[in-house]
Amino acid sequence: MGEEEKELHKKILATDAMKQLMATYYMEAKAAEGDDKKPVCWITSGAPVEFLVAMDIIPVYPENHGALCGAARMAVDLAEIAEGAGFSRDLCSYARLDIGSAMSRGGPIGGLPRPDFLLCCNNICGTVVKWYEELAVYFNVPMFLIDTPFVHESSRRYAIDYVAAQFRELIEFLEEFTAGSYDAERFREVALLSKEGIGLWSDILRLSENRPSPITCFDAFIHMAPIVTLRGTARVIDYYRALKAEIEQRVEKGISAVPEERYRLLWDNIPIWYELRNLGHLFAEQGACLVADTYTTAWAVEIEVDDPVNSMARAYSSIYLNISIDLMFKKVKALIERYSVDGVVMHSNRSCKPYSLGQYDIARMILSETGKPVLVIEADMTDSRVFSSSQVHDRILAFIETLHS
Amino acid sequence: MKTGVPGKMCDTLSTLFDMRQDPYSGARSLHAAGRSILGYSCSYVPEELIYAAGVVPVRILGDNKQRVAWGGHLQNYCCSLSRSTLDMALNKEFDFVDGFVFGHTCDTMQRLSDILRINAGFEFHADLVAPSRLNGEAAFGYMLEELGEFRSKLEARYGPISDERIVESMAVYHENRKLVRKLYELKKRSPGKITSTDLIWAATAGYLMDRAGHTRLLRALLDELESLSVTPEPGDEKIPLFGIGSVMDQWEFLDMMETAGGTFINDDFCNGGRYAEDFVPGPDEPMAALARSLMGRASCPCKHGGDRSTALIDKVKYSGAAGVVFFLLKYCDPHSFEYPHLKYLLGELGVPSILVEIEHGAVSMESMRTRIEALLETIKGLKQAR
Repeated sequence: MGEEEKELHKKILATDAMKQLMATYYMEAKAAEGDDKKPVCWITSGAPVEFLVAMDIIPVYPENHGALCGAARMAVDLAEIAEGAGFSRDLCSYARLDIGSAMSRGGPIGGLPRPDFLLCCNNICGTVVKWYEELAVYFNVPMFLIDTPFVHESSRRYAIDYVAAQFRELIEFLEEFTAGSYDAERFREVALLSKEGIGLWSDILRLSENRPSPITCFDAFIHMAPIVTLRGTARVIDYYRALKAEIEQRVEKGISAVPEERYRLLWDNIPIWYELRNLGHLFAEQGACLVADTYTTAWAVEIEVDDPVNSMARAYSSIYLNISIDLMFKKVKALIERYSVDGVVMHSNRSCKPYSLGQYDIARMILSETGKPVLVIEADMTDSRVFSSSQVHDRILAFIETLHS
Repeated sequence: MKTGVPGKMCDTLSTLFDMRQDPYSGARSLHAAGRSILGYSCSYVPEELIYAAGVVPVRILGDNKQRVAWGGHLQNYCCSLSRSTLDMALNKEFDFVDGFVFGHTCDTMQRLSDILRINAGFEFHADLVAPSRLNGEAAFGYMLEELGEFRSKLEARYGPISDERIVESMAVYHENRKLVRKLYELKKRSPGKITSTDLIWAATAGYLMDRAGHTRLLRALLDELESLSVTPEPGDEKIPLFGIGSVMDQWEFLDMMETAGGTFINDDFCNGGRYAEDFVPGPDEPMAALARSLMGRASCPCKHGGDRSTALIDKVKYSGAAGVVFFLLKYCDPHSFEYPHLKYLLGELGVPSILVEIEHGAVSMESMRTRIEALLETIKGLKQAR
C-alpha cells in the first residue's frame, strides 16, 4: 500500500477543527481567571454540566486536562510534584497530576485557571470526592457534591428523587456565584442542545457498526473531548455535524480506519493516553480495528427535554461506572453484538478501581456467554512508569494471533 | 504490678486474649447453637437492624495468611482487606454465615460486593447503599428509604422485625458503644492499666460475638481494671500516641509498639476509637433514629459532609497524644487522599507523625519497628528541647 493511501485511512479532516475548538475553549477558560463576571468551576467528567452552561459558568475538566497531560507525556512530572507533597503513588494518576499541576502551574497549557468553586459528582468514582475535597482545601473554595447512589440491582425511585433534590440545591448554590438567577427556560434550551450533541455523538460512534469500520476507538478517544467539555453548547453541535458528515462519507466511499480490517475488537476502560499512537499503529498493522469501547459511550446519556431535571437525575445515576458488574456485562454484551466484535481488550487501569475491579469476572462472563476471547493488559491511563511497553505489545500480538486460528 | 502486659492484666483480658487466637470461634459457636449470622464489612452497615432481626452481625477483619484465590477476581492494586475477605469467602471459611451485607463506602468495597455476590455462593446478599453525603435532609430522606428497603430484605429472609425490637436493639448497641467509650476514658486516665492491643481488641471483639454478651464482658473488664492498682515503675511510662487509619487488626504490630515504648491513648480506627464515639439522636421514630445515628457518627473518610479533618485534629489535641501514627492499608484511597493535609495540620500543631503502610499477608514487622522507633525518638528529642 502506498503512503498516500495509508494517509487516507488515517486522517480525519475534522481533527484540526476539533483542535481549534478545544484550544479556543481552554483560552477562554484561562482568560476568565480572576474575572468576577465569569466564574470558573472545576467539574468531574460525569457531572451535569448543563446547569453550569445555563448559568454562564465556565466548566473546566481536570480529567480532560489529565488526558491532555498524559498524551503530551507530561503526566509523570506533574504527578511527582503531588507525590513529593505526600500523595501516595497508588492514588489515581489524574488526581495526582492535577494536584501537581495546580501546585506548579505546569503542563502543556500552563495549568488550569483557578476555580471559584468545585462541582463533583460521584457517579464515576468515590475517588473524585476525595480528590475534590483536597482541591477545595488547596484553593480554599467551596465544593458541591452530587451523590448518585450506586446501582447494584436497579435504580430506585427514591434514589432518583434524592439526586433530583440535589440538583435543586445545586441551583441555589450556583446562584450565589452568578449575577443572574436560574431560568428554567434557558436550562431547557441547554438540555436540548445537550441532547442534540449527545445524539450526534452517538450517531458517530454507531457508524462503526459498518464493516469495514470508518473509525477506531482511538479516533473516538480524541474526538470525545468536545462532548465532555462543551456539552450543552451550540458549537459542539456544529462540530459534530461536520464530523458526522465526514465519517458518513468515509462509509460511502468504503474508507476503512484500519487498512485491512480483519478483526473487530472492543476496548474497555480509559485509554492509555501516552501510548495511544503506538497502540493505534500496533493494532492497525495487524488488521485489528477497535470498533467500539465502553468509555466514549459513557457520555451518551438520555435526556428528556420535557422533564430535564428528573430525566437527568436518572441518566446521570445510571452511567456505566455507577452500576454493578452484572449490569456492566449486559452493556458490554450489547456492544459486542451491535458492533459484531471478535474479541475484547481490557485495560486493567491501576488508576481506576470502579472501572477495573470486576474486569476478570466480566471477562469470564463474556467468554462463557458470547464465546468471545478477552485480553487483559495492565497499565495506567497516564502514569507511564507502571507500563511495560514490550510486554503489553507482545501480549497484544499473541492475542491477535489466537483470533486468527 | 508491672504495667502493659497484653492479655495478662486481669481475667477478662485473658479470656479476650484467648478469643483473639481464633477470631471467628465465637461466631462459629453461635452458628452451631442455631443462631443466624450475617457477615459485613465497614462502618455503615446498620448492625442494629440486623440484630433486631434476630441475626448476629459479624464484621469481617483482615487476615494475615498468604492467600491466592482472590487473584482470579481482583487486581493486586486493591487493599488487602478486600483481598483477604474475598479469599476467605471463596475458601468457604465463612461457612457460619448466611451471607453478606455491604454498606457502601469506597470504590473497592463497592466492587467487592458484586464479586463476592457472584462468586461466593451465599444464600443472602444485601447492599445498603448509604449516601456519600452525610448532611442535608435529602440525604437523610434517602437513607431512611434505603434502610426501609434493607429492612424488607431482612424480613423476607428472617421474618417480621417489630419497631420495638429495633428500639431494643439500638439500646443494646448504644449501651455497648458507651462502655467502649468508658474503656477509652479509662485508658486516658490510667494508660498503664490496659495496653493498646487489649484496648482495641476489647472493642473489636464486640463485632465477633453477640453484642449483649460483649457488653457483659466489657462491664466485667471495666470493673476489674478499675479495681486494679497500677503504679508505673520509673522509666516504664509509655509515650502516648494517636492512631489514624481504617481497620486496626494488626495485634502483633500493637504489641511491638508497646514494647518499643509507645501506646495508643486514643485512635480513629473504625473498629476502635471512631466506633466508640457513636451518635445518639434525640427521640424519633425508630427507623429515623437509626438513620440519624448512622449519619451522625464520626465519619469514615469515604463520606462527605462533616468537617472530618477539624474534628480529627481536635480529637488528637484533646487526647494528649505526643505523636500520631498513620496506619494505612496500602491502596486505601480515602485515607491516602487525606493524609498530606492531616499531616500538615499536625505539623502546624507541632505534633510529629509517621506513616506506616501495611498489606495483610505481607507485614514486615522490622520496617514498622524502625518507623515507630524513629517517631518515639523524635518525640523524646522534642521533649528535651523544650
